[in-house]
Amino acid sequence: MSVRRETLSTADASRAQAKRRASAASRGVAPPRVESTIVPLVEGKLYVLPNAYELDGRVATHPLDARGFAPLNSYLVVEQSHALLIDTGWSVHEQSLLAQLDSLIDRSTPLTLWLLRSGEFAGICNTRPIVETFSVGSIYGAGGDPPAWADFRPEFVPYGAPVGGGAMSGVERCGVAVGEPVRVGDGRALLPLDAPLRLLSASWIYDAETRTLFTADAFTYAWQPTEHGPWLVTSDNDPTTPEGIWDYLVHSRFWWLAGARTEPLRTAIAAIFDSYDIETIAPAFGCVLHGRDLVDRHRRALDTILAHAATAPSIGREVAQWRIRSEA
Amino acid sequence: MSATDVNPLPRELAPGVFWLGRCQHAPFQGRVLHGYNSAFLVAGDDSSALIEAGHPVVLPDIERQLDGLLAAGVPELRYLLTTHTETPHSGGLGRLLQHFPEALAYGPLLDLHLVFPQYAARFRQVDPGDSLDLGGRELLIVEAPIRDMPYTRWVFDSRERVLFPGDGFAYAHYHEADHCGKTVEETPDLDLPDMMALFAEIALYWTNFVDMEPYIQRLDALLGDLRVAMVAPTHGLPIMDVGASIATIYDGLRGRRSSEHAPAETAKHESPIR
Repeated sequence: MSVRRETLSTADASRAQAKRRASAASRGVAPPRVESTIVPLVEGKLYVLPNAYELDGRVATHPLDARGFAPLNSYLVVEQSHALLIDTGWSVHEQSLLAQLDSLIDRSTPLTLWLLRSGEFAGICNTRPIVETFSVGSIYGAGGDPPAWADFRPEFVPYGAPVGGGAMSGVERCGVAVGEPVRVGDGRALLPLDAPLRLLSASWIYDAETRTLFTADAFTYAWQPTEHGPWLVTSDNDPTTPEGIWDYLVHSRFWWLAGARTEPLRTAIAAIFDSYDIETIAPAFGCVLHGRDLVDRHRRALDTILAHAATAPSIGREVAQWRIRSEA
Repeated sequence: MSATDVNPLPRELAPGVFWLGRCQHAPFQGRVLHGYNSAFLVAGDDSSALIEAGHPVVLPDIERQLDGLLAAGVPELRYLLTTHTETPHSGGLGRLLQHFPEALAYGPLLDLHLVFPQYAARFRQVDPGDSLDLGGRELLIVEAPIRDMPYTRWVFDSRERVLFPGDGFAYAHYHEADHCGKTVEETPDLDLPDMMALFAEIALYWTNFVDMEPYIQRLDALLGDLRVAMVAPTHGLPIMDVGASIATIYDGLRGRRSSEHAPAETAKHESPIR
């Protein structure tokens, strides 16, 4: 398998990007600097669309004292003339994400969206602009009405206006049932799994075609010192340590693991890794973990950490006292 | 899940405290289960604050109710307070900041500069101990003993002693039982522990794996320290008589505790109002 990083540079992508920047400016949104990078995991089959954001004490995905850059990932699954996009990024990445998609699929390509965590902004912000730009036929989500849940951008739907209207109204709302595959093209099946390690409602997905496990907010702990990545981590460039992973977990969304009864979590995670051939761990944010050796290393590291967590003292009460202004 | 046609909100729970929103419903085991993603307007003598910015699905309802109250003479909306940055709590911030150019957003506003970058200059982070003066009443930012996101804040209204606990006290209700728009005390047949357990299963996953007793103890202490008279949760029916209802709430929280964890110490069941 060939794995490489690409920077978009085609004339078509540049022209489309210029139009989008002008459109964003007309809506009062300052166009951010666009860094459009794609990472082909399996050429023609699966692409990572990472968009970097700074860890500067203002983000909830990481401990407030973490510094560097992490990618918020979307994943494009391509099968024949169809495509499925997992998650739609932060608002500030709108133009970059549209450029990434433009570089990979035609705007008339039948496109399905799958929002792994509808209750969190990370990963759903650009649902409306993608629906308005590409040929989105359906949106999958954990529950409720995924298009309406993601329709909060005032540039598109201002105060007083109904949500889920316009281009969104023609999109099919699809629930996700664990174990019932979501089809892409003819034959490609993405299997939704119960997410054993998560904060809020979330799904994991297994793609047998590329041997990729999409893990939502789990395995999100690898980041880089600069905004240039690399966003694909292999055994040769793994920046993580067990101590660092533990510190990340208990100082962010997995604060509750310390002192928790983690045996059910370990069992459920082991069952997934034992059941499926996994070559890549694809988190919603943070670096993608690629390669069998690395996947096995991280599986074992997380299991060891979860075993340790059960013996650690709970920090549940002190978390309530954590302060933003002094810790950021 | 979609909004229903019958909406008894807005409702004034206490002088100057208005409950805004609309039920969202879902079929559940042959019945129609309802849940709230509420917002609350608190009116002071000089200005008003909106606590929680609304789930995207109910934004048009909240905005319409807000417009009606402001037109009826509620003081200017200057403060938009959110307990944390999930979409059911902060989804409407962008639209509100767009429509009320003098308003500022307060709360643990992590991530939101990446979501609503055009309004980042109007964000103000808050920590426990901070307060906002509305004129004649203060909103105090307090810790959140029950939460999912680690940087979550609860809000306390000093005048009517109302606690706004965000995800704390989260439970659904049944549509056909005429529970919509009612308080806990007005719905005696509501199985609160069962509803809390159901909500926790869906939304407070972590409670499946921890001993809840320390959290209950801290919650109990907070209710007592603040002398809370009323609780206005984002996802549940308001509790007008905390002393009478709190034991049931604690039972609901304990419903998520693993049987393998013995309680370290039993929290008080008597009225938290001291």
